[in-house]
Amino acid sequence: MKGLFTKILVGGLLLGITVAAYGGSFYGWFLPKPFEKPVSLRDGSNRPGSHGYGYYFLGGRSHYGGGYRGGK
Amino acid sequence: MVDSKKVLFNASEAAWVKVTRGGPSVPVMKREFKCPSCGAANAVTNPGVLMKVCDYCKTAIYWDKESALRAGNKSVDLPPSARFRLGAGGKIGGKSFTVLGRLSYRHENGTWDEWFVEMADGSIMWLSEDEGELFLEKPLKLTSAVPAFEELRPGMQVTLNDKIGIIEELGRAQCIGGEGQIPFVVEIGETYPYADGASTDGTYSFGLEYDAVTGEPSAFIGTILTPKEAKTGPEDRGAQAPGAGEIIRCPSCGKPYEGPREKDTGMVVCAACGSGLELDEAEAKVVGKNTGKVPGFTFKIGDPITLEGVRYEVMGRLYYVEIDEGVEYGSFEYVLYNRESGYLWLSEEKGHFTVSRVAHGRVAVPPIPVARMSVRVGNEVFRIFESGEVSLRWVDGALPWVAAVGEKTRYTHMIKPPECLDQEITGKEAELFRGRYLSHEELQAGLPKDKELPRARGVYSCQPYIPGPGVSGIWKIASVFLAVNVILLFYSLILGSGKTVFQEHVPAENYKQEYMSPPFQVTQNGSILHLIGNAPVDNSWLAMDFALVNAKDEVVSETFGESSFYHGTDSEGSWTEGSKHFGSYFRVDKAGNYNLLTHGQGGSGEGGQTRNEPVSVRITEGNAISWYFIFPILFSGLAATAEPLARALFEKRRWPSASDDDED
Repeated sequence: MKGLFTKILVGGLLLGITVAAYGGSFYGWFLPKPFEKPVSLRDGSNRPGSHGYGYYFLGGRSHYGGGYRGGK
Repeated sequence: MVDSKKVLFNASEAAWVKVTRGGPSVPVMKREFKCPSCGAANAVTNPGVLMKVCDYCKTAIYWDKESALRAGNKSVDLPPSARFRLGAGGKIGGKSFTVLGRLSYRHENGTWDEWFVEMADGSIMWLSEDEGELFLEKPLKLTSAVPAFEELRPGMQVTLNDKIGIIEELGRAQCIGGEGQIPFVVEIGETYPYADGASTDGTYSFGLEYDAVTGEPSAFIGTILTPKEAKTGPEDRGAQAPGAGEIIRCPSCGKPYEGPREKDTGMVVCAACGSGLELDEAEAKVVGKNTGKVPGFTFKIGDPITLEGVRYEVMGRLYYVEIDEGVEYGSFEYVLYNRESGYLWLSEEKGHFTVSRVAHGRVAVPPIPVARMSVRVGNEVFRIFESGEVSLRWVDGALPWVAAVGEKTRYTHMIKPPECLDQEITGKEAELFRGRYLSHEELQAGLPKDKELPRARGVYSCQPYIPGPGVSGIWKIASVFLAVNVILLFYSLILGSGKTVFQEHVPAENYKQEYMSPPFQVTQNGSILHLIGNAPVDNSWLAMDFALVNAKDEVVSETFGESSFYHGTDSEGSWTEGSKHFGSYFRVDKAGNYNLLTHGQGGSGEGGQTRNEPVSVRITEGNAISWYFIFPILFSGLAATAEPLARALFEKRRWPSASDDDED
């Protein structure tokens, strides 16, 4: 009984990490998720340290309310 | 002096008449005569018989070369055998026989019997019974010289014509008596030197007997039988326990011995005073005495133990000690007996048990045995575990040999778990015991339910490794996962490198502000994108922010990368640090057109200005992140090696002293 329990436990653990590795490798389960709600360029990034001149990265949303000023 | 077991005479044909035995259809030869000592009528039924012990006065009667009868010495009353009886019918290897006669011999450490049986075709075969072992023997005409008795040593190799044998026992034997019809001429009371042994592979036994006067050797050779290979019917065996009704009084204290005793019991130990009593045909002789407290035996004399389906009883107990570097190590030995199956040796040490039987054959133990050294035994290889000398500290009950307290035995213990092989040399006797480890479960199953066994300590020399329930079989499961993950790893490496969907060289003047790339297409929902960057930094750094912008000018994902590469020389030589490359994975939920927004800043040295290195950026789609499979590969590999690891640890505990030596 103890042996069966151990086998189930170890088998379950190995199955779990294999599935996790599969999901992580082929489906990017553990990568940073894309934004749930896309951020407008003009809102700027909320990444710490984003500051400057009103660009997405450079402006930040707190100081200048700027955003992307370049052109495509 | 008459040569023992030498055929001297062919019986006169004229003296024989045909009679019937077992019905009119079975005629046999019979010759009747009167005992020259008491005049009682005797008869022999086989022409090969040369000696008859008078059925009435026990005088040995011989025919000499002129067919005259001659009276020899009287035989003692021999104890009944549990296995054979005069006149009894039985079978050897499926062939019927009738017991014709018997001779009994005594040597320094006990007695043995020789039974003469007549087969259905009239031929006489010869069965030796020694300490429960049976040997089917016949004379061997020596065509090559054998060493003189004085030159023989236990364990020595001798050549018998084209055969090679190993001397197991040396001694002087005295014929103490006989009964029935005997195909040899043996003087009762005669003493002669002898050597017993077996072939190197243990398949046959041999004996050498030396004439007491001339020293002329005669040889015989035999097959080693199991007790079941030659036996009489149940109705023909000794009906009562040998020695029943016969009181043995201890010469030391005068108290009667009331313990177990069998026909071939060589000694008993007085329960009252602890004196070891060697059983002579006439009286018991004290050969040693137990002193001090009774050692902590697990079993008592008379305890029943069922092993391999046979119910044995504890006949005798021995306690041996070995002193190594001032530390005393004790081991117990129990002599188990069953009338059908003979003797079995149960050993106990540190709560571990082994069960052994007498074995034969050559074991080439090196002069200086070293632990772990391989020893070939036939087609098998054993390893030497230890060797040393034990001293008998205590003995009680009844034994088929004489064991005196204080006697020393040199031993070599060899193992092939769960089997073990012990070569023991005591005095002039070299014995081989082959045994196996007995688990507590197996032993307990053969004991009364309330019997408790001592707790086993450590790992015993021949204890087999039995994986615990938590380890057993895990490797199979783990191996499956190991194989699956290795396949997935290679699959992800081969097929998961992705295809390039974007590639651009971004100069510093672009990324220093913010630079939006031309659009590129992501073709699949939920794609894993791999952004790979490379900048020619040289003792400088470049930190990049990236944002993935969809067609609605919305950022759906962000990532970053950093190139930082420094190098130089110091007192220890040249050095480098960091990398010019960077990379990161990020995910995109929806397929579509995207732009990459890039911003970067850099520097050099400590607070130095940026060197405005350009950066190359490439994005691939359809990637697989292979290194995730490293984790399940490591875990399953660890689980797969749990059992071998546990086995290795078990083996390390099996050989603690050898390991210590290695470390030294």
